[in-house]
Amino acid sequence: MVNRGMIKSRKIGIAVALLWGIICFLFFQFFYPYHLFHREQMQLFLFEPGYLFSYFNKPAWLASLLGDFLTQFFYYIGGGAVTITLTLLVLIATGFWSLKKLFSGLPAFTIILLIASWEALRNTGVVYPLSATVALIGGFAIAGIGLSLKLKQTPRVFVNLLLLLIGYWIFGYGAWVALLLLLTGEFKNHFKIISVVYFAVLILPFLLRPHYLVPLRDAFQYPMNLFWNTPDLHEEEIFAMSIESDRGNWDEVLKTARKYDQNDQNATYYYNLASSHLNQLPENLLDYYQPGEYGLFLKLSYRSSFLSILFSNQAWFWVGDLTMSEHSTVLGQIFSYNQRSSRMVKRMAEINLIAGEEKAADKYLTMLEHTLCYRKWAQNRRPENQSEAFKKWIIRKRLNCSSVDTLRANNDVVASLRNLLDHNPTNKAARDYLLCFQLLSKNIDGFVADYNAYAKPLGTAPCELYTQALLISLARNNAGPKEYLAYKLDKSLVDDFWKYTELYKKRDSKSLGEEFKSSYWFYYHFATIKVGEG
Amino acid sequence: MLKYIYIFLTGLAIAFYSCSPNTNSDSVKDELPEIFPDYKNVTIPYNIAPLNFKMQGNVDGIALRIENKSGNYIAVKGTDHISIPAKNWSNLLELSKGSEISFTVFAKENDKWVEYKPFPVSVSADPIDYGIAYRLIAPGYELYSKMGIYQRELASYNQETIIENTLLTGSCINCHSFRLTDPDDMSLHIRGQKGGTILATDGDVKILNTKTPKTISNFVYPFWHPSGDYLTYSVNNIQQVFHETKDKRVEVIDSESDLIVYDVNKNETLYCDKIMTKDHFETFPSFSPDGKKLYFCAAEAKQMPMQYQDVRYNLCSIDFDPATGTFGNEVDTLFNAAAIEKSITFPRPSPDGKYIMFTLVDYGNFSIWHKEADLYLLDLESGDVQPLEAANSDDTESYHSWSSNSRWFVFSSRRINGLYTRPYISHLDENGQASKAFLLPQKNPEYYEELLFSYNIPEFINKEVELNVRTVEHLANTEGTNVAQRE
Repeated sequence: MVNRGMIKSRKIGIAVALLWGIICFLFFQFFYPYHLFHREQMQLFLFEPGYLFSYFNKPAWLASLLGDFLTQFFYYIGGGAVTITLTLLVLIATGFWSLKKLFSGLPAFTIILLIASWEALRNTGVVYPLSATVALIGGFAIAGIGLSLKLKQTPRVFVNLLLLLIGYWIFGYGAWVALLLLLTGEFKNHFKIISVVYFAVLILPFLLRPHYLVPLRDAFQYPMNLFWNTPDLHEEEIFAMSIESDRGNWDEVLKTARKYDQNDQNATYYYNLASSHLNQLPENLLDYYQPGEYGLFLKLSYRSSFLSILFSNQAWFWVGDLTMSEHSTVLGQIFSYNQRSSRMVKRMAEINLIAGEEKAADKYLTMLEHTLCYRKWAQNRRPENQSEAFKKWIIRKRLNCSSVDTLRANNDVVASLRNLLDHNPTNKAARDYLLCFQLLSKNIDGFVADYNAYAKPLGTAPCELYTQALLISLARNNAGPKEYLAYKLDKSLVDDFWKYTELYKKRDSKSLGEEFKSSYWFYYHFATIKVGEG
Repeated sequence: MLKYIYIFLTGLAIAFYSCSPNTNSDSVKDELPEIFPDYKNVTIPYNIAPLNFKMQGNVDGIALRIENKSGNYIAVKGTDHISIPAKNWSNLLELSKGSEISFTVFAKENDKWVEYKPFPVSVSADPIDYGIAYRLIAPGYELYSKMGIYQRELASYNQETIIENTLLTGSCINCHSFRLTDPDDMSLHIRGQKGGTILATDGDVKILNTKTPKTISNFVYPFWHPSGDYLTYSVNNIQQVFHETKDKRVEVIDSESDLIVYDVNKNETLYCDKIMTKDHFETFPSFSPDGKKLYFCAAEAKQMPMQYQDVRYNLCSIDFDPATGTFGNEVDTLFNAAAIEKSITFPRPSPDGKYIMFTLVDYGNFSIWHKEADLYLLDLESGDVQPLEAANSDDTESYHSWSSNSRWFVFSSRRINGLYTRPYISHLDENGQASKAFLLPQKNPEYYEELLFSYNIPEFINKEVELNVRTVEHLANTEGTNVAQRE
């Protein structure tokens, strides 16, 4: 009867754990996949002895090594959700095994299920390393081993202390879980004063900190870096745009941006970038939230968020400024987890291939060849393996790179774009970015000067956005019909402009908002430029 | 007699050492092997770590026979690289001081062993210092993340951390400097929310707030007086600007710069109008080995950044009296680089007082990102200036430091991939001729390939740096000592 009851309980427990696992999988797979792709991109796991040995330089080497190894699988579609779910199920199994030695089945199961749920929530954090989950598993495993020892108290305490010391060395903060459980075990076994020996493990972070060169708090909690987190679906949408842009799915980026319609600088950045890739930047520009010019190029400063720094290379790469793209990429690299990002290394390889810096490109390709997920990507970009399409892509990108050198400050976007256009007047991406940049910063004179220099000579009629801006300038300068004609303006837009002007003079903001909300005139008069720091 | 027995036994031990390499080749190529790092025809000190290397390109195996003129040899075999046993290597070098050893490389290509033409490596009898200290930093600009200052023993591969900014979150650590390679006297800047200038003098460590009403900035580029009683620093208003073309990348320019001398014992800054002029930029100071001259770079002040390409630094000097802490009245120009449309950076006098080594570029002072940057040597006796051709490459050679015996110099070079600086070491003979430089050896030659940090400011040290990181951490979180100014 008892056995049958136990078997039934066990079956129920397994079923609940599996159900929990299915919910976990479904959440990460369908509601949170881009966070996991992003987490993989923020590391670069190399199958290289030197890299692997470097794990010994920080606490919790085994947890970190295993966690980073497993994080690689986040690269694959479905890989992240499967890996996290399986890791958490292992946590449940290990935790239950050790807790069962202290508590009866139901409390033990409830505790570990709560811990696993807490851990699942922490895994929704973008910088939370999977190694922290592995550290917990390790902590429970050590506790389980310690609690299984059939020794007399004194030898048991010293063996357990040894386990705790090793536990801290290989699992970092997981050792505190083991400490807690082992102490609980001692209390349950009629606590004796000798058990305070366990607390000796708390000295280790103090002793090893100078070797590991980490602040005291990090020495105690490594590799864990946050106690609590809840899913950030807003961030998930940003990552969706970021990851799809990295895959070159620009339609998807635009669709995602429009779907969520966020008032977020990074979302605008991807909306604009996707529009430009789809050759629709001026056409789409004012259909979306625009935080001034900061939605075109993300500003790099000490106050910039890590995501802005990380994303910022893409616009520069797209318009052809390799110096700024490389600058942004290096910053993205050094601010990523352990200063290694697969995405940034790939971008560095591309930049140097385009720049013809073969030795530098070779360095990055060699690194990528030492990875599980990017080996093929790197091999296909070796000069001897490059496809015709890739060769043509390099040639196209090279056409945009300037050969005329000048100096400029990092935030002098206009100087960079003008230089690119002086070098290659057919660089439409740079032209649209320059003109839109001038418009978003409400620099009408700058816009007209650049339009005259880089767009007017093409002889085509301006698009609606540019026409609207030109009309402001023409009206301000009391231009004559000849000047209007020189720009080949759409007559219906000229009529609209006078209509807008009438409404504006009447201060009829309701009608202006209804009829002209997406016009440049409305933006010019009513938009407030925010200082974007990402 | 004992010496000869020792030599005999050591020779025997070496001769019998083998990882059983098959050095019987299937064919012989009349060409030198392409190896990384390139150690062909270099001159090395007898107390350097083994020169491990790998073949460029794919091979199925690699073997090496190193032999000295007395017939002592080491034979090693590897799969993807050569890893020379340290003990045998050091014994062989000890026996080969002042002569050459020959490297014969065998590579397994298409299942056949190919023997390449041997190449010599000269083993100098001039010893090299204990190690080098350097900063490892990602080659980013404007913003920084993780960085650290490390020391490397040259006779082994041991790298130890002196300090990392992981300990001082958000800080930048830079400009480490030692007095004549002695790490007991050390200067180091910590910038950021926490920090100041760390000054270690014979076990006493303090942190200084170095901005004074009379100076335009905190202390920047340092150099110790040989007595240890003074340090000279530049003070600079620095700005970073970017090149449009990728091969040049970034330029760091001074809109103003001056020099000062800091009196360590009195905690005072000494000033001299001659090196704090408005119409010149003065920077990169260094003291002569006798302590009686202050060398520095000076350029006519220009509108920055508009005229950045017109800024050209000359090598200058001014007398300094260490007894009184006073300066001479005249600034001498030792080398007028501007006259040949060049610019000088990092003048470093050799400890024996014979030479000044400097970097020569087309303009400006940020030689580290100038591809044309090369090392030059000024003979102080004859006044001759010569490029160190054997040490230079087509890419950047920039920061350099002398060994304490003036026979070796270490410098940073971008020659491997144009992006990351790596430490190279070269020998200078008694005639001022440099040897081909060799890359600091690593246990695994692929170490440099996966390293995403640049070696910055390599400085020789004559013993291990012992900086207590807890002390530094504590000091960085305290109010520093304000530097006084001598009226």
